[in-house]
Amino acid sequence: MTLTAAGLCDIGTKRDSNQDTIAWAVSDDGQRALSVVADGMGGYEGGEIASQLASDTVMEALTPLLASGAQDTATLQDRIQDAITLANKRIHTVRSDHPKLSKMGTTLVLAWVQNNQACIAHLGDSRCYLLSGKTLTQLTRDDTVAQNMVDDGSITLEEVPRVPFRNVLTRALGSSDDARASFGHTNLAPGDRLILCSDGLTGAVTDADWPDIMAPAPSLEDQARRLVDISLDHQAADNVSVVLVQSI
Amino acid sequence: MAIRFLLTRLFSLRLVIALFALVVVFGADKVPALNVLDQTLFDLVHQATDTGNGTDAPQAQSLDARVLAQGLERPDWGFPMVRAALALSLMFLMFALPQLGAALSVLLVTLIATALLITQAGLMLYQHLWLPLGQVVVFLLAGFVTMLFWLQPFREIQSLRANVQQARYQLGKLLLQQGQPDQALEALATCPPDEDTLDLQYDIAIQQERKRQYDSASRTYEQILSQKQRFRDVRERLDAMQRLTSDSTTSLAAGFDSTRTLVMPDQSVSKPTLGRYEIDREIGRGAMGVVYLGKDPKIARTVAIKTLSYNQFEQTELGELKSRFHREAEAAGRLNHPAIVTVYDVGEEADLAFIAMDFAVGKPLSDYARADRLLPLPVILTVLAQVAEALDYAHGQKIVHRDIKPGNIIYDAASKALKITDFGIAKITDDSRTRTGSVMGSPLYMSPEQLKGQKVTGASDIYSLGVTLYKLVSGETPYNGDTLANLTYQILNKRARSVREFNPELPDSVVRLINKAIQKEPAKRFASAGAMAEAMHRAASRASSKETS
Repeated sequence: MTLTAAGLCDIGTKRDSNQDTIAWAVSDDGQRALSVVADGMGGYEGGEIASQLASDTVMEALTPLLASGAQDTATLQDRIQDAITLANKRIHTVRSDHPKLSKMGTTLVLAWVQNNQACIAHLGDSRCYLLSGKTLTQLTRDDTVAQNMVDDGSITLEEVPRVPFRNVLTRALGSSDDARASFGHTNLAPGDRLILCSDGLTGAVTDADWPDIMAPAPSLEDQARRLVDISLDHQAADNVSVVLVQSI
Repeated sequence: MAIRFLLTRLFSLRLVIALFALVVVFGADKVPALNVLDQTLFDLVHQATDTGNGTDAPQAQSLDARVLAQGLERPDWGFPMVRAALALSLMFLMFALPQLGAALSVLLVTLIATALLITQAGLMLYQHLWLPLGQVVVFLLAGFVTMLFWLQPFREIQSLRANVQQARYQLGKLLLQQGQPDQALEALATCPPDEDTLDLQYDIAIQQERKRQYDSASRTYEQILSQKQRFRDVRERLDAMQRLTSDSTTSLAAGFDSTRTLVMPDQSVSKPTLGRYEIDREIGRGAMGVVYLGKDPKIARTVAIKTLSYNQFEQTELGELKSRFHREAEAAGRLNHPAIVTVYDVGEEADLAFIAMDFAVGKPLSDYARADRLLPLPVILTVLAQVAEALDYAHGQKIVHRDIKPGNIIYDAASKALKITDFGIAKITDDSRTRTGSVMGSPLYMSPEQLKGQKVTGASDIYSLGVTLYKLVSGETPYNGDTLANLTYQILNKRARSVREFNPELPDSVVRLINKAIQKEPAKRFASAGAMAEAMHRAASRASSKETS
């Protein structure tokens, strides 16, 4: 099995700034891959800084592990959580030092792939999907008030766009001292793809359409490009980010 | 600059006249034409007094010789006198003439010339003195004719200049009235300065100052100074402005936002304005942004001005935001009820929108919402009954408040007057489009249907008023959650905590009233705010009779 990754980030059609940050790295032998999507918030500069800070910190802390690989799942989870906690701390420091950035924060979704296994960590509403053949499975659950309301049966999925607090996250980096991520695990068969994305993509294109949109493109780059292009065609209101990881 | 100055002065007819005067002074002897008049006068006087004594000198003799031959004396003061007369004539031609009308100048010149000639003749006849004033008259007449050539175009230029000034002034004024101060300034910049145009530029600068466009104001002041070195207090204002911009470049550039207050400049800079309102001071932070105390200078009315800063929104959302703002503010402006804060005006500046409204005297009921400082029950019921009546009126006008809570009801304990503020403003500041990790508004008073994003009706206001009553009699709210998610869950799915838990002495009627108002199902609440008002009035009179008994 060899891993490849590709990603694309676009400002979208309605925003003045790009507050999304994406990053990925594959080990030299192609056996391990790390990918990140962060979607910042809290004003103009704040969002950009927070997502960049989160992505940089996590990449910096975990890239050394790419060469050696993690011994077991528990160690891996600890290392990932430590990286996220460090990122949260750094965002907090900047927040308290700069009044203008006092509201900044960011979502984070991270996927670590090793030995046909993917470990996914996230906070906020940036998502990770598994595309196996033509079957798309959402691996993360949004940390939003609206998702909670859907889960407890207060509202239906169709009602989400009208809920007043629909954009309020229940968890994010920077908004509280507690930055414990939710973890998920999945197996990757050859040909399977992981899709990490910000809500700019999910908000502009229904996820059910993704397999068909990606199908005609031969390379991972082209598949990412097609997803972003279609969301721009749909007048994506937010920044659009996609990172794809595939095992061959 | 110096060359232009020289050219305009050098090639001027006035200089020619001055040179001519010099010729008269120094070269009168060599230019016979200058003496023509003296000669003629001499001959005339001579003939008139000729006694025929035969000593008639030949005409060929020079005038000087003939003067001598006639025994006329040349006084010592003669020369200076003639020079002085020449100098005076020069002054007259150069400076007085351009100010006079054509007819008047002809008349004056004729009079002066005649007077000079008569003087000369008189001196000859009666004093036997010879004073060659004829030169002066020749100079005056020749100079006058020359000046006439210059005066005509000069007058035309003068009137054109006045015309341009007037036209530019009117244009500037018009542009200013149309709200285009920059174009107005451009129209005035190259205009020959006069009091009116300078005044207008000064007014524009003051306006820019008040609108906090300090950079533009500085440029305008500099423009004024380039036209006139000293004009009123322009220099002082410019200095004050430069101090201000260097002190607080960043905060000025950032302008208003919900967290930053307006920079109050020092005395030398005009008080800031929003629309026609002069801003006095900040009085608080509302749902939209900073609230200011202002004054309408036209009618000396004190107003509260709620501002909505555009900075917090994406450029692309602004169009929709602005139209929503105006729609809602105008809807609220249609409400006319003694218990509803009157909206006077809605306006917009470059970086924010604002609503000017009645400044309600008193304190928000949130000040009386803690368990240790609750108002007496009859007072609470009476006040909220009035709120319900006002809501009933608004619902009749198809306007829902959407954000009834203690903080939006201003109560003046002294006069017992109350005012509901922020009608419809919740709709303007629907912050759902800005994603955030932290809770912005709290939904403590929000009805379940509002939380679910369903249609908000008068029944939602009744629910919120029910929670407000709950809060004011107990210091607590029916639901309590440590996070927004938790609170939302409780409001949507859990039974309300009984108000009796927090206030065991509350009469049954009030408990029933609250429970009816905060039913999850809108249809189970009071049929109208009016019905709720009646129930509260009844409960109030029972409570007060119980208190007195």
